[in-house]
Amino acid sequence: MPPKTLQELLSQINTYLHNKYIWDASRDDSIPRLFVAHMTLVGWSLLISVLIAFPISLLIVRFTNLYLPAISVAGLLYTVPSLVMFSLLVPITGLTETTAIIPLVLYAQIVLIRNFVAAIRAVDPVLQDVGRGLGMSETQLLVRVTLPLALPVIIAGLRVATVATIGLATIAPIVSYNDLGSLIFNGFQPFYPAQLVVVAVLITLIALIADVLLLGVQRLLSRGRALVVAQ
Amino acid sequence: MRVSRMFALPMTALIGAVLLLSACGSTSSNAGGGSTTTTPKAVTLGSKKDGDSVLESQMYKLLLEKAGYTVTLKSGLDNKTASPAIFSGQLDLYPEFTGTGLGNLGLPSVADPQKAYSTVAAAYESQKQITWLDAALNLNDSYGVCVPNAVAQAKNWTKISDIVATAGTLRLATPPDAVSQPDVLPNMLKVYGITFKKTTQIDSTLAYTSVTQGQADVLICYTTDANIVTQNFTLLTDDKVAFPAYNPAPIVRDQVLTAHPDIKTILNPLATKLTTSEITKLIKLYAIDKTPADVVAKQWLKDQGLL
Amino acid sequence: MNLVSLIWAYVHDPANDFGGHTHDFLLVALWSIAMSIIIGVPLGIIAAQNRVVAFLATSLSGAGRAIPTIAFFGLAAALPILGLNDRSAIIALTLLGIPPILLNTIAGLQGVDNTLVDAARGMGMTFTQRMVRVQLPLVLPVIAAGVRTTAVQVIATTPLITFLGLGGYGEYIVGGIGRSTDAGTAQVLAGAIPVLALALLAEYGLAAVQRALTPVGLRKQTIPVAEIVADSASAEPGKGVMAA
Repeated sequence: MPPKTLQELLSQINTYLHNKYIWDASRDDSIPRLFVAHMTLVGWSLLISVLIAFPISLLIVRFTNLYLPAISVAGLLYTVPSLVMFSLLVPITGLTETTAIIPLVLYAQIVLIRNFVAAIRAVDPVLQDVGRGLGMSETQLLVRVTLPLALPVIIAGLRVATVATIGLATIAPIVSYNDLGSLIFNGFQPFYPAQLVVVAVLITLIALIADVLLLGVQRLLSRGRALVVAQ
Repeated sequence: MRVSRMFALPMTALIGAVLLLSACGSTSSNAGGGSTTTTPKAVTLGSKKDGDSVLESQMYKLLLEKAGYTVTLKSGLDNKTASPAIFSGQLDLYPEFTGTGLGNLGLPSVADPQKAYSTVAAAYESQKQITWLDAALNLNDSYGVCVPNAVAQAKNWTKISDIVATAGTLRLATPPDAVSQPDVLPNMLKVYGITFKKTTQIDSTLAYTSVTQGQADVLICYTTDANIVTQNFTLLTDDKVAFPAYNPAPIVRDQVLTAHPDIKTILNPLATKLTTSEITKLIKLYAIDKTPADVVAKQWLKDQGLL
Repeated sequence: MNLVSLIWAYVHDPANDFGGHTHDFLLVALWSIAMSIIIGVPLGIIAAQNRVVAFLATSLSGAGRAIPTIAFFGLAAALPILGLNDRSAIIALTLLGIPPILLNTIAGLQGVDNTLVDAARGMGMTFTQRMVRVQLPLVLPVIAAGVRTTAVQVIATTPLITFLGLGGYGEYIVGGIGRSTDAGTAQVLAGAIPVLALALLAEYGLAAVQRALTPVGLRKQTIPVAEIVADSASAEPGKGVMAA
């Protein structure tokens, strides 16, 4: 029931926060459990996203002609509405975690590939030549020279993808994977603003914490080097 | 040589990713659709996200569990996901509405509840091998016309026919789904011969807000919406029966029902107990007071002597 | 009748009031973009003066993007003082539109070579003079890139105002989705095509503006920082095509 004054909204938020059911971790629709489900989904999605985007980025750096087609495909995938993607996937992969993960993985590709490619390209070719001069194989060069140097920028790309995925994961309830997004869905049906306020604040906080944690990692990795990406 | 090595890495990663995907997929669906024939007494139950569906699926779950079933609940669906899911065998059963079922098969809607039920039941059986168990014919989750209590009393409005004379001066707020289905709002306007002064499409709950804020005078409401009661609105009687019938019933795949014929006797008693006024009370508890659906459903089933 | 003529007929049917829907849509979208610039640029200039403030502003606007837009709208509608009107929608869309401009303004200003600022200071320029004559001209293309992202994002999100009863192209889209007939598809497209066209217009039109604003001597140079920031701020997937 929509509140009529700001005070009413605040008191509704207060009532909602005192609802014992939302904190009862023995219930799978409680906020703690939904949070865990949310982060599990985000974690799997990011892991798989990186496992796909990284090799593609390596290929693009090697074969520059691939950049445009790869970015175009990733960009095209990004424009497919989640509802359409889900309705195509449900008959194939069913109402499973897999179906919830696939769109998140596909949506993350454009951000990850762009940033990974930029990161690897930004590595000074002179340093790679030095590595070659030392007799390193291509794999050694990749693992010992290129990757360590590109890592801070790679992590910067991962930060962007992480924040985006934490937000996008709220669509998963459409295929019956209940995470924090389910609180948004039933905050609209019927309209219950107090719940929406709480979820919005919660998701922002989670994204903020994830972002700062990864920023820490990024800083740690770029210690002793000129900062490659500005804040 | 170099090229093939460059390809080897991404291929390995891709295969790894696919394996991971299938791994986490399988952990979640241990009671998937197909397993019902091999695993005794396990079913996958679906639920759309509207209050009515959420509560009824919880009732199904509690009753089936009492009878010894292991129930996997797939909640939060909508019409675009639930009906493909049961057609493809992802779901074994879920609560569906007669009017919606007719629409899913591209059939015209029917206003008479009994006729809507027999039509949809026959069509699902022959086209999709899905059985409609008994429908709650006294629970109609349809569309209606709502006005504020104060207005209804002042103008002595109780049925839709009462507003026909002044409709030309009234502004209507309506959810878009009522406008886009020719058999809902367009049909109602035709049956009663109404032309409103202005029609605004808006979210179904915000429609109440737009009337209380004075941007509209009447609204198209869902007949079981708890907002009717909590926001002091009156549902006008559909005296010419212009809105289609939407009565809920458990729909079950024939294959599942053959393996577990007792599902029928477990769920059918609900049909007579569920009524529009009962479900409106329960929806208020769930949607307005934010009591979880399973708690609401359990208490109600106990009160009815079903649990 | 084929789809094209169905769409044509739909748009020209006076009952569908295409002109009125276009007016509703443009009014909200343009105001929101304008407000995002008016608030985002000065906020960025202020934030860029202090590393801590800049960091906070950047992180907050980054994390804010994690909130699904639909929740944004719910919040705007929830604010009781605002009510169901254009103003609420413009406030929600402005909140959504500020981050890309803010982020790019900060990143752009921080990317300006310090020696240039020092030189300007050495010439006796005040803060305002330095900003107006040296720094802003240099970062204008970067800010323009931010405005481009904002504009596309706002245009892609404006269809959602139909949920607040404010009409616009979203009304066609949401209404058409509920119908499985060809007429329904035509209705969706009658709303989706203008949205897409406006988004493309903003994307390419503002790209031209961005190029024109770039000092000739800098045109060949790429600004990687700005590109990364601008990319990161893109809209939720698929929204331009389908609002619901």
